[in-house]
Amino acid sequence: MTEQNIEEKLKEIIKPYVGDEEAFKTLTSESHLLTDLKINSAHLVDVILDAEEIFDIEIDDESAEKMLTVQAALDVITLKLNDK
Amino acid sequence: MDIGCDIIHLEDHWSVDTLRQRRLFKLYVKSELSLLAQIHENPKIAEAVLWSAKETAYKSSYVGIARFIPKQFILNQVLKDHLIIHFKEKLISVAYIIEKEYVFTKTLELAKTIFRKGHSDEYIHIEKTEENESFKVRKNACNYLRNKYGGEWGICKTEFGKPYLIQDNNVSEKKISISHHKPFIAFVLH
Repeated sequence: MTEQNIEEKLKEIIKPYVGDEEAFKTLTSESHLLTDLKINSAHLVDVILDAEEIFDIEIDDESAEKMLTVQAALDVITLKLNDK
Repeated sequence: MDIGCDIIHLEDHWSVDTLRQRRLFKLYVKSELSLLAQIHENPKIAEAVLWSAKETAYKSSYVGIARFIPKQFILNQVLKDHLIIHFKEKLISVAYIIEKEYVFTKTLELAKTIFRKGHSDEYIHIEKTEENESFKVRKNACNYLRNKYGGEWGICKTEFGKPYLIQDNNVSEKKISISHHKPFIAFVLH
C-alpha cells in the first residue's frame, strides 16, 4: 500500500467524526485531530478502532497516544503495516 | 490542582456504538468497567458519565501537550453524585449531573477548599446554543465577570490550550474551565 493510499484511507476514516468541515477541506499533515479538525475526544478512539479494522492492524495504547495529528496517525499506521 | 469541567451531548456521544467491547477496552481498564453499573443503571449513561469525568480530571490535572491518555485517569470509587478518579499520586473528586440531553461533570476539589474558607465563588453556566461555541462562552463568561467584579475581561489560552482569564490586561487569579459539545456549551468559574 502506498503512502498516498494510506493517507486517502485515513481521510475517509476521519471524515465522519470531523467537527469543522472547513478545516477538513484544507487538511494538512500537521492538522491536529482535536484542536484543528474538532474531532470530539470521545470519538478519537473510534478513529483508532476504524483504522485497526480498515488496515487490519493493532494499535496499542502507547501508539494511540501519539495519533493526534494527521502525520502522527500516518506514521503509526505505516509502522504497524510494516510490522505485519 | 486546577479546575475542570466537561459536557457531553448524549445524542452525539451515542452516534457510534459506545459500548462496543473493543471500544471499551481502549478507553477503560477492567476495574473501571466493573464499577460502571454503580454509576447508573443504564450502561450508556454510565459510560458517558465516566468518560466525562475522565475528561474533567484530565483538564484539572494534566499539563502539557495534548495527549490521548484515558487509561491514566482511572475510576477509583463511585460515591453519591461524584466519582473519585485516580491520576498518578492524586485523587480527583468529580461531581456529575445527568440530564435528558446531556451529562455534565466538574471537579470538586477547589470548591471544597473555597467552601471551607466560608465562601464559594463558583459559577456554573450550561447552555444550548446554535451560535459559535467559542464566541458564546467568551461573551457569557466575560459579561458575568464584568457585572460581578467590574473591569474588562478576556479569555486567553496557554501554549498547551489551557484557558485563563485576563482582567484589565492582567492575568487574573480567577480560574475558568470550558467545554463544548454541539449544541451545548458549559463553563465553570472560580
